[in-house]
Amino acid sequence: MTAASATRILDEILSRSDIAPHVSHVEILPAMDATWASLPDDLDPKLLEALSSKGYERLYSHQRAAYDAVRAGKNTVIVTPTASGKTLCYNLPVVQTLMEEPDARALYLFPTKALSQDQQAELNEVALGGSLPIKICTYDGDSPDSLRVAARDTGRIVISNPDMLHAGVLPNHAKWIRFFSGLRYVVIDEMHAYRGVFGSHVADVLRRLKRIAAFYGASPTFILCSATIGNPAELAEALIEEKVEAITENGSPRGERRVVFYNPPLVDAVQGIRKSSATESERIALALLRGGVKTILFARSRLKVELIASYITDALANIYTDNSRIRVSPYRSGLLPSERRAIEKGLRDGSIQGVVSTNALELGIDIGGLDAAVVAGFPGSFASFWQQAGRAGRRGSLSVAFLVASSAPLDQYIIAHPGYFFGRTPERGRIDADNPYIFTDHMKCAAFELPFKEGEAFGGSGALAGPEAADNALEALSLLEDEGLVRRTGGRWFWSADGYPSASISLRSATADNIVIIDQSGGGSRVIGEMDRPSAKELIFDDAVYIHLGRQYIVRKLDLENKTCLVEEREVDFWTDSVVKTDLEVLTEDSAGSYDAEASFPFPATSAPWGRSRLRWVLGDVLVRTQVEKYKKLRFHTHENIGYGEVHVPSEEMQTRYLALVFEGKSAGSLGLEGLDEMQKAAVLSGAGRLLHDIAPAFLMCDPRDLGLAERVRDTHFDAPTLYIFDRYPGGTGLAEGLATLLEEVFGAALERLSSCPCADGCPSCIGVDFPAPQGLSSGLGPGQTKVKGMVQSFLSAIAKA
Amino acid sequence: MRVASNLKSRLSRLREMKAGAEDHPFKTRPSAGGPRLPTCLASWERLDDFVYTRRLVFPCAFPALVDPRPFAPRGMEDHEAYAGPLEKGKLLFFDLETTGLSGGSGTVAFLAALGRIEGEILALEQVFLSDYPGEGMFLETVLRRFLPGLVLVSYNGRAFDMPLLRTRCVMNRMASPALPHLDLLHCARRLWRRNSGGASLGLLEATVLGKERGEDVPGARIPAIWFDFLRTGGTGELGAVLSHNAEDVASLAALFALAQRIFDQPLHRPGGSGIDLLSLGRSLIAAGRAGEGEAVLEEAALGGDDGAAIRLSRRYAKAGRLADRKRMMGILGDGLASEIEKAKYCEHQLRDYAQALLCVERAMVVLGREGPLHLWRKRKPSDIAAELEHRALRLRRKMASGT
Repeated sequence: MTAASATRILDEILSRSDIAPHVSHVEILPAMDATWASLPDDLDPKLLEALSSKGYERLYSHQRAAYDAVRAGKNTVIVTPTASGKTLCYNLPVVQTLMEEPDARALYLFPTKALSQDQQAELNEVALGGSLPIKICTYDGDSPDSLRVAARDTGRIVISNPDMLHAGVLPNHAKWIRFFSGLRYVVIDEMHAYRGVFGSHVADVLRRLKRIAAFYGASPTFILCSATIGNPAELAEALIEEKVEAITENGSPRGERRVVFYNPPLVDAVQGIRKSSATESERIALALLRGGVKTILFARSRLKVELIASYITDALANIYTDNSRIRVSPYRSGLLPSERRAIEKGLRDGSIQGVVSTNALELGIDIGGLDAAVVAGFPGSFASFWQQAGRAGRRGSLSVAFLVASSAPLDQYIIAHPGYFFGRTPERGRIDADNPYIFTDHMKCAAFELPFKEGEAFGGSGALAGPEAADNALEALSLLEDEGLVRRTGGRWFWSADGYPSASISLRSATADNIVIIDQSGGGSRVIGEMDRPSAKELIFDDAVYIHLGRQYIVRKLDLENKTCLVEEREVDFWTDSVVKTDLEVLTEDSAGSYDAEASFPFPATSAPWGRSRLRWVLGDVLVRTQVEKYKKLRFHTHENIGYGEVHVPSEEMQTRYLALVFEGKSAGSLGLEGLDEMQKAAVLSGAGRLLHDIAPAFLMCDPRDLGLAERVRDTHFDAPTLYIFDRYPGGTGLAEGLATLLEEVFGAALERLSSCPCADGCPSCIGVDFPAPQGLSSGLGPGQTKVKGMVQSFLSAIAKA
Repeated sequence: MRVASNLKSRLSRLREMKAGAEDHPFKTRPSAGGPRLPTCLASWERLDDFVYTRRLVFPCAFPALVDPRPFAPRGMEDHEAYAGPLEKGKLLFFDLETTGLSGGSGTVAFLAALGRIEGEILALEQVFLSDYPGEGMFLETVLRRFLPGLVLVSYNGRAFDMPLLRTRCVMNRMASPALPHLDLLHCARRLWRRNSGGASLGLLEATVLGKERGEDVPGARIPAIWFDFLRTGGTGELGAVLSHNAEDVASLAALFALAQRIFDQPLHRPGGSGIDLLSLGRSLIAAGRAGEGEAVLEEAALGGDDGAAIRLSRRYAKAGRLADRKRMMGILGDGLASEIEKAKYCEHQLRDYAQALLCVERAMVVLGREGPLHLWRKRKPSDIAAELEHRALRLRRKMASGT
């Protein structure tokens, strides 16, 4: 598509009468020229030749800066937008060093589990057309045995992923003796993917990697690449626990990009109900596809992906034109690798023009040139949005990204504040390598890999180095000794259990015991997907509707004991949504503070001067018990509730980190609730909690589903009205701690959202519509019964403006 | 970004909760004292705090010279290390017991048995590791038996024991041993798996050697027994593990001797009826002993093994031995492969298309009846069916054109 025709099609779509009125903002990000730098003068002649045969006579400035930093032996993080020539940032210094030192090796880590064929082909370009004597091997779950042996013994650059490093390489490091002995560089691409649970795991895997490398006398230099996030150097340093140099000036050129903000029309202004972002996105994607624009649509959940893909296909359905020869496919996690490969291939060879995806495609899977991205609902983080928008766009041509706002408070806040959106620093990636569960899991693996010496630490550098880190390791080893997993003898701790600890530890989900979904339609038995256990309880309970690749299945039997879920294909006109009840039990109060003008952090738990403050906050461990109680049946398209069903699954328990906002004594928060009755207090806490919970992810760089929320009018632990926000991963991943430092921003944004919401008295875009009854009372407040919105507003202002 | 780490207190809380939740089997442990001497090790010689050895002898009739080629790894038969013949005294039989069956750097070998043939006996030495700190000494003691000029003999040692031993050497910063290695597993599979229903050493010991073990432990239990011994000093089943290891090597030597005799004199072989003659014949032919190989295959074919008859039929066809081939056709049964072979013979040799078509049709019936039950030569029944259709079509065409 040429720039001119693209502009014409886009203008046409934007001026349509059913679209134009709802476009609230169009941001034009102009094309940018390149900043050039010369090639380094110490390059090997063969490398120079290979570069010039590829047309490289000079470098972008950031490529040169990366080369100089890495060659000077510095750990380096490079912040790179999509298509800015990042592979050369690490390939050039790595290949040059490998040419100079015949025994040197490099490890490249990518966050995806199986590299696509396409990625491999591109990475073989690493050696610049194979003209250089550098052997590159891929070592992932799909590699055949013969290639694995070659990777170990002769691979100079080994391309893998954290999961393989964790479960395949490190536990067998003695077989990799030549590789580890020569390990000079570790490249970590797509670093921004390593946040939250996955990032915390990966930080511990890297601790293990460094420990094993040290055993063979190697201490590699790390090169990291990241999409734009607020704290690249900080995240890099948290991951590798070493000093890192950050290169953030991008020297590459880019084509013009337009970002269109689209706010679906209000259906009911009084109740603040808007048309669904999914259906509006679907409409926009259809218009683009019909205009011949290759389009990717991002939806928030697997379920939505399936729904939207099938709606689009339905809309195109025409047997005479073969659906106008436009093919659209869903793409999400939970598909089998072969299904995913087929879709990637279709996108590249042009047999598929559109794809509806979850964030599975956010990562660097090359799917060829797409021209438009439609993002259905703000994806929870600015970095995610830019990654998704970046899927569309090729050098030198116009590309467009639509943000279609949902009714969620955060979306409505963003759509009303484009200046804030385009001006703000992106959020920060957070990890917690010291999550006690994750830490202990990797201590097991590390003990298996190499016995611990007395006094040996596991990670912890800088301020944490020394006795404290060693004490932590000792405590974890003692715990493992209690469980009979390690044996302390002769001044060392030895792994002393049968089997492979890493085999049962997944880097990506809370539990390794996934439920396998088996289709038994027509008497057959076919595996069609898998799901982690806690999600399974909420999504694929008996009689639930499960949607896979556009087909509907009814769950016949969820068998948690045998980890199977039997389903049967069936056409129904509804889907199911579970209703979950949450109980909390506070286990500890680790630190506390008061949120006021001079909030200090962290504050010792005992002496919080909450008396004159806005509110008191407390951080600690909590036991969370969730129970799926029943499910709703919702009709397709209209999403109307057509009935309830029973769910019988055992409750799920976990220990995690909480942040409690306690409105007690004479604090502003407490005064903000004064004069309200129990029912009103419950409604205010519920509404404010929902708003805070929904806004917070933008500041924490997480998904709203990573945070849990519970409100208590009479909290039995703190003995005052309390809002709990907790991390939904066992042991926590730093979200509760992070939120404690962001109260000012989060309360400010929440109040602003509420004040600017056009609804009369609460809507899905702010405080919600259904308010629960406080414990002991039979019914809650409905919308419109009282002015809940006003009460929440004065509550929040009392706090934010105190 | 990170809040002041309270990891240690969170870990200790986890520890308390776990300890409180269940009454832990490992909570009480023996007080550390001097090294223990379990009763089952009483007759063993103590090399240091954690390493023990003992010597045992087993009677073992063994051919004086060994031809290593049938046991050499595939493709290595011609390598000089396997050229033979080899004096029986040059063989070093060995087997390890380990803390896990899946390998990995955290899996440790704690018991080794090493055997040499001395005249009519198998002289066995066992080395036992009673706790981790002795591993260096344990490995040294074991590796001291890996003398240059010897040839290792193991059962599945190529895939399991040797990689594990190499890993242990790396972990202890010692040089790995590098001796030529004969792994009996591959040859044993060829000779006995078909008729024994498996090829584990224990199974072949019972079915082929007819040996009965008294007290024994299943291999999968062995790691747990050693761990139990470490934690509690309990030696209940440790004695059984020690003798299991010795018995394994004794059986390895006996089975190796038997396999050797079978290859020495395939036509006057010992070992009864359990041998897979088709496999043996093929091995002999592959080793360049065509006459003996064909004789063994003939024996198999006459015994009703159609696989052997088909193989011979093809050899004879290639060599132009038409009478012999015809003889094979006479003894072929009516299985799928046999019918196809007969069809080929009728079509290309006899040019009797009607007869050939009859064979193809019979093959289709067999395929229809049994196809889905087992994969024939690892091919899909649908592919075979397509091939048969194709053959039938060609035959009908030939019949019609009268060529």
